[in-house]
Amino acid sequence: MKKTLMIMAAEIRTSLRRKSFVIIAIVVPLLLGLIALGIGLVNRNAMETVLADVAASPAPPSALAGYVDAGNLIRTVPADLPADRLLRYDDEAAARAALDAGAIAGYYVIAPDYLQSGAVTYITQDFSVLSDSLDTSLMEQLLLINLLGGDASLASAVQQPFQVQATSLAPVVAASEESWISELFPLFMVLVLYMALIIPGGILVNALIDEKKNRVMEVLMTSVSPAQMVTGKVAALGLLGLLMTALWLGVLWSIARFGGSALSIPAGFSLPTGLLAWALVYFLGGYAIYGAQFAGIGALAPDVNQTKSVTWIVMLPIIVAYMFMAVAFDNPTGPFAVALSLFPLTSSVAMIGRMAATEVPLWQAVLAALLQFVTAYFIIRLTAQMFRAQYLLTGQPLTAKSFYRTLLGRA
Amino acid sequence: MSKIWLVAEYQFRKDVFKRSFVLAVFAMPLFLGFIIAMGWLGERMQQQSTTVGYVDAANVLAQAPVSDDDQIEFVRFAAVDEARAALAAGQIDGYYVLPADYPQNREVALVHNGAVSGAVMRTFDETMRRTLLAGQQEQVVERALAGPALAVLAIDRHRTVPLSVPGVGAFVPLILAAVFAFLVMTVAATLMETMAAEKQNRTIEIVVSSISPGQMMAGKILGVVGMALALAACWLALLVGFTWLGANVVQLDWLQDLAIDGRDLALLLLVALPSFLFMAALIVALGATVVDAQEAQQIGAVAFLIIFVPIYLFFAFGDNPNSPLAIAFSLFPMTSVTTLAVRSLFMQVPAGQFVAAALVALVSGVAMIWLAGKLFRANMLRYGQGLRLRQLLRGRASA
Repeated sequence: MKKTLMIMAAEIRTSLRRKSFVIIAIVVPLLLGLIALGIGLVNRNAMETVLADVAASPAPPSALAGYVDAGNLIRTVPADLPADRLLRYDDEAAARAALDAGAIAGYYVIAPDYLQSGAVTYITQDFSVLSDSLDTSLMEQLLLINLLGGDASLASAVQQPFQVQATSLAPVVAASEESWISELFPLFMVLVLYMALIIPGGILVNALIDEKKNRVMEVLMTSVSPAQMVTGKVAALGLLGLLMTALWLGVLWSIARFGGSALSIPAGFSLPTGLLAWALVYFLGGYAIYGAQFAGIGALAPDVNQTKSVTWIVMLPIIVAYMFMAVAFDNPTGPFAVALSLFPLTSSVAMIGRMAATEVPLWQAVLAALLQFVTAYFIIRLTAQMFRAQYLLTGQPLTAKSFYRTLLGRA
Repeated sequence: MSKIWLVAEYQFRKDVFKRSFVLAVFAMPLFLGFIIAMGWLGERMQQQSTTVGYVDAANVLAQAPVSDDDQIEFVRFAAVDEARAALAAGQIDGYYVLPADYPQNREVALVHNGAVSGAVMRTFDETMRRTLLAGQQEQVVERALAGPALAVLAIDRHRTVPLSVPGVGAFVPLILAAVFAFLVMTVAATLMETMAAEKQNRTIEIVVSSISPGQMMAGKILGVVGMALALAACWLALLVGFTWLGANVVQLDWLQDLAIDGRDLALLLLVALPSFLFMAALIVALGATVVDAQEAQQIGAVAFLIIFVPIYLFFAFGDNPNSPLAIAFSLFPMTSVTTLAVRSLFMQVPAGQFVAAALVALVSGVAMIWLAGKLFRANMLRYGQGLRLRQLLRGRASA
């Protein structure tokens, strides 16, 4: 135990001095936080300008518009339509002159082949699809009336064929305090767990390859057992992973706190502490499973480049779980979501995703955690076998096949 | 010059004629296909079959409502009691009642169990409208149901935008910007790792015994640009092929009328080429200063993040595409392609701005190639150490 703790402490010290860890754990979240805050500020200013423009605008500019009807479709203007709001012009030049003179806010150009294409273009000086609105109902009504031969009552009926009186027999559900954060929270939790699992794993692989290259590991192996080595290194990187997650969450909290109203956490939302406790449990189990496998990759790979394809294959279950959880959120109690949340290789992200989305029976939560820790125990034991001197000394290329054969003791 | 081509040719062959290039060719189309498949799967999983009854006491419906969606079915009942019993028995999810006085007051009742979707309501609404339009010419009926295809031409922006959801063609500049970012990401990873590996195994020392560091860097950058163009050509061919299949074989509606603005696309390509040259030169320059492949990957990831900053500023750029910030981002080589793509959605960006962005990127790219050569020379024998700006400047002063 003492040797395991010593390896752990040494690994933590080395990692904290490593530039790559400092970049991922501190520089990148800070940089992203600053970028997010800057962007939030720019977008907020843009939104405030738009709102101020809308509030300060005088009479609606679309109150008076013209139209040019080259195909002569519009022959009837019903008496009950506010005819003074739509002025007919014989050609585009006349309409454009009226627009330039400020007599109208804009004008419609009805395509001569309207019946086939339906094309109607409203021409105006400036228009932003993001912040400006345009009321075209009058023109649409006029077009429909004339399309139907001037029959205004039929056009009115076609525009609104009925008024529906709906009666729902479904049980009345109290209106919930739904907000963007309630909808995104399960996905967010899954993402945090996913990142917390894979980033320390990548650092672990690189650290082990470095130690193999400079032969430090061979010296270490003369005084510690493979199991102590694996446990110490995996635990150290797991702790650093937690530290890194805390830093990332701190940056996100700062963005929510200081990033303006659009990014702020809605009132009434609080982090469920029970969920956070379960997240810690599943992180430990999941990290032990994947961290041990990453340690095995680091022990076998001669250089970093050869670890990529194998790392990807080892991570495949968790990537698949992450991808499919977005779909499984629609039915978090369905058999697909339950299976993903109980399978040890996917449960760390899938169970947290389900817990954030719905209420999970306690026996399922406990069973998933138990299965995870049992699997982690066996994988750590199998991985320790890889640290035997003969594997560390070989320079053979690493493939997924050779990795799994070695893991299962068939190499 | 011939030595530069030799290096470029070697780099091109080395990067293109290997298995990872083939993987890269298929990686992005497969990734996009996976995203689309996940979206489709999610939509299918949300869909539930719905059976809805209707009671036509006014006897106005000439035919039963028919939905394009095979998950929705309508069943006629002779009386309200029958429909109510079917709903209570769970045979249907709801029923419409058209009372005998419907032609006079146009009121319809809908009783449901909470599972009647918007698609059901739209189908019933269209059926009623078709019934009212009975007797009109088919072309008139279709136009009356579809309504006008309204668009707005903003004179100041020289751009016509549809008031409904724009077609896929309008988003082609953004797709091009995404391809550009993927190319940079792919090339950054390959190039920086190659640079770091060649430094580690000391191949570079042998090569620079016969050519200058500047020639070496220029050759590598040109080779990488060639590799990126080959990759982009493969992606484009696959994209065109899949689009053709989608439009003509699978008959996807949203691919039927692809209205692509050729002017914007051509101008964006004009900017993309020198911008990529700049990015490649920047990556090589960084690759020449880093110690190992891991460090190189981290720097590549930060460069990728900067390319996407204009996407996060979508609202600000979209609302005011001619703002000084938008123009400044359009001229900065790292963000020019993405910014111009975003602005092109909302206005016709003046051709002069595209040309200016291309020129800035070209000049910056050439300057970066020169700098890459200098950095490489200064850092060549510093094994296991990075290079700081101060050291580079000191080296220049003493040289």
